[in-house]
Amino acid sequence: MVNKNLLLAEDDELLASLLDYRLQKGGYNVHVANDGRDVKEYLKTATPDIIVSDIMMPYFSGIELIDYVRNQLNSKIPIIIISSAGNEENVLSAFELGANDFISKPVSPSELLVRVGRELIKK
Amino acid sequence: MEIISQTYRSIMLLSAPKIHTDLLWDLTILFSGLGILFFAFVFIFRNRLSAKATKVARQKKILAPIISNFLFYETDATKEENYEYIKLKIEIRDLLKIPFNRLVLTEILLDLKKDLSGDSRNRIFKLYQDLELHLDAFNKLRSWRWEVVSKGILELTQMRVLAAYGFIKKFINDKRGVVRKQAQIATVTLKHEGISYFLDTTRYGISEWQQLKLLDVLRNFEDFTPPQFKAWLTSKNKDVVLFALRLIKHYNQNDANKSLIELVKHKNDQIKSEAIQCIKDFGVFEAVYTLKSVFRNCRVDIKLQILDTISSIGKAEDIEFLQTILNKESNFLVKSKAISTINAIAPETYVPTEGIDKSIATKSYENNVEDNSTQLAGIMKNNELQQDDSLQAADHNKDSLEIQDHLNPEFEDEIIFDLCFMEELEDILTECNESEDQEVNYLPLDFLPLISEEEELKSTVDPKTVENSDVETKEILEEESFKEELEAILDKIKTHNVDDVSKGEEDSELEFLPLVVESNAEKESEDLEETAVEDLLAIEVNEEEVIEEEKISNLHNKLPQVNWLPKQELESSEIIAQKSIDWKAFVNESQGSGNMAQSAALNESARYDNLASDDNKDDNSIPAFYGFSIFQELFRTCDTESKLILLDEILAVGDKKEVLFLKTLLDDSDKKVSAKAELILKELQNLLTPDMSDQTSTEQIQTNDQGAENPYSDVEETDETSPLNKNLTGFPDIEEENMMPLEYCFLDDSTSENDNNQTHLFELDFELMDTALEVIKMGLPPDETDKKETDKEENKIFGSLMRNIILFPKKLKEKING
Repeated sequence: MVNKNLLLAEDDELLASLLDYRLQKGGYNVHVANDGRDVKEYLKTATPDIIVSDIMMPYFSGIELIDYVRNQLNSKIPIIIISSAGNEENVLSAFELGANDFISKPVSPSELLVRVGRELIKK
Repeated sequence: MEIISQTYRSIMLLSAPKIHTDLLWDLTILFSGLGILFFAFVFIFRNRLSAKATKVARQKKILAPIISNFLFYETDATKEENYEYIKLKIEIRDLLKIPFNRLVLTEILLDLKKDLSGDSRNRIFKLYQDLELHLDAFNKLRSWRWEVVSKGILELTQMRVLAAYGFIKKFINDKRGVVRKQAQIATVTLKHEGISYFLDTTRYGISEWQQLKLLDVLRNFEDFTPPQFKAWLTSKNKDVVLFALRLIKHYNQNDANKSLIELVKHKNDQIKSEAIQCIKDFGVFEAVYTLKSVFRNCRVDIKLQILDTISSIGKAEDIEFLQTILNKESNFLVKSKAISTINAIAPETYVPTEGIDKSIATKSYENNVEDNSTQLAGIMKNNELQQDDSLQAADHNKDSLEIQDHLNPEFEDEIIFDLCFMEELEDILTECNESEDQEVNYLPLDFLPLISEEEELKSTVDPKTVENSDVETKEILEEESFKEELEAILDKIKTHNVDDVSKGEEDSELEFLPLVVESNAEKESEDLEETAVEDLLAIEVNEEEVIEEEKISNLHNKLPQVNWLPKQELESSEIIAQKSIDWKAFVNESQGSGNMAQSAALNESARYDNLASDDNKDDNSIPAFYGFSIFQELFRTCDTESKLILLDEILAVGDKKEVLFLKTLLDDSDKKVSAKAELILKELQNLLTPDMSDQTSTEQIQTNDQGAENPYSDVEETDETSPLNKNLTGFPDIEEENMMPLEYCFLDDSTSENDNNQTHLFELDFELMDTALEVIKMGLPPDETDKKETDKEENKIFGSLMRNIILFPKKLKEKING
């Protein structure tokens, strides 16, 4: 699990910072992107081992991110979706487009860490 | 020039106020300054806010790693991590000395509390208090500004500062609504016992939204043991009672049934509604009586709720109450709900009625449903019967349709008359049945002829006794016997089934008719009786009926010797003589063949003959069966003066029917009446002398027919050992044999009625007379003078006869169906 590259796409800087701290503490190389454009730019230059993305982001939503990765990049990178409670339609859309897992806010950093590790094992 | 100047002289149509130019400039400068000032303030404040937000964001970025480090610090961390943790702790204490940093740190923790869950959230709560940020919140509670106090309460509540419970609960009854509501939620949130304290102490109303929020707080509690909310059902605060009811329902605390029943009587509809809902949910059966009691004074929505509750907990005895609602309630919704409630308690009590084709017979299905509860064998048998019933019902409907197709105003009147007649008969019989066990009362059969039954009574009862008894006793006896016959007739007619109605029964129906002897010479020329007798022969009678008839015939044997109508000779009496001979021939034939049904029918005819002869024995000059006197009924209730007036009227309008009645009046207790009756009787008899002579001539016709040919002349060969035959064949001589029985007089009278288009329920027999007439004519020896004409008409008659025979079943069916 060590030295795995993880892309964290979260527009809430505070939460992103907290998760970043926790994931790094879990042994991942975390790259934080605060909006969709950053994600796109990063994906043009690098290929993460796993992507943890919020659905609601400016410029480029999590759904579009999944579509971009699966259909344009033709990549099978594991994608874990973070979504607010009650946003079930988007979650279903995410799964239809190829999301691997789903976690709802409020997020438990420990739980996220476990899910990330499980997806990487599947890969 | 002057002209021009005059032409172009300016006219002051508009006049502007004279304002000094300096003032205008001053105002312009003023408003411009205000505008600039406004925009300057906006700009300044916006920049300040932006700067502050930027500063906070920057500070958050600085503090976020520190917070993350504190949040995810593990006790089993390495020395480097421990060193880093201690270093950060010192650093943050320095930062917290600055209020702004405290504020930013508080915001960070509040934001993180929203996004994190699990153990991280609990660490946030702990960190908040470790950093003594809750002291700032306590300070806010002391503020005079309501929004600050509210923020302080909210902060303490969100960070789960239990120490703040004692401070916050004081704001439960705060005058400021926002503070009060925030304090209510905080009190309930911070401690489990907060709900009890809140319900005990709150004096203000609790809004619906507030109740929902409080309920949401309670629902999210972990390991929460709710108190017994029935304790607050007695609160003076109606909102507390209402909230307690909702909590009782939410936590299914069904140990407050008595209080719930009492709250159904509450004046507040909201509480009443909630209590009813609880009663329904908990199935409080003992509340039904209270629900029914309060129903009348409730609003429609409460009524609907009560009915809904009764549908859940009601029993069969509550249906009566629901029926009352159904009858008295005007509101459509309530009535509909009452019906659905009845159906809920007793399913299928009310079935759909709107848009249902009622012409479709459902009896078969209903019977099938009932029969399902019986044994299997019974089911099979009943199903067969039901199929028959349905077929009969279908036939009946078909016949009814056919009748309706042939309806014209004339038949319509007859049908209406028959229906009214049958309804009246049913009512009378019902009344009679009800009064049978009590005492013999007057039976209102005013509209029915009594003469025939009166004569029958005379034949069965000792004449002396009858004469000595008073009039009322006679009437009662007559009416009782009449009642039995009417019931039998009603039963038969109600069946409306031609196939099932035997002709024997039809014959018994004929007993109902008055036997009127009207010897009309013209009518007597029509030979009707032969066909009638043939119809009687075709009748099938049950053995029981035959036994009854035999009893009657035995009774006749005990009666005095039969006296036939006076024998007189008349040249044109061949036809009538033929009737009499045919009659006896049929008697012999029937007795010889052992056809009991025929014998019974003939005995009936003989019985009427005997009755008639009895009457003749009393008075040879006046036949008995003249009919019913309408004055007889009028005399029952009127006084002496009225009777005298009626006697005058009898003389004016009376006929043979009144003669017998006048004779009964001769024995009247009132001498005036009896004297006048005697006088009127004499005068009436004088007036009716021509009629008497007609009758005499008819009787002469009968007696003059001794030498006529008779194809059934073997009358004397009948078995005289039979009491029946003794009665019929024990005629004194041939002359008596040739006499016309009164049965034919009845038939003759019926024919005349038919000719007058006075059809009624028993029209069937009259119509038979047409066929009988033709048959008899054919059987008669043709007169020499009319022989050729008879031969020519014979073919026509035979053709019409065949047509009548073919159409007879259809006519019979139509007439019986009314």
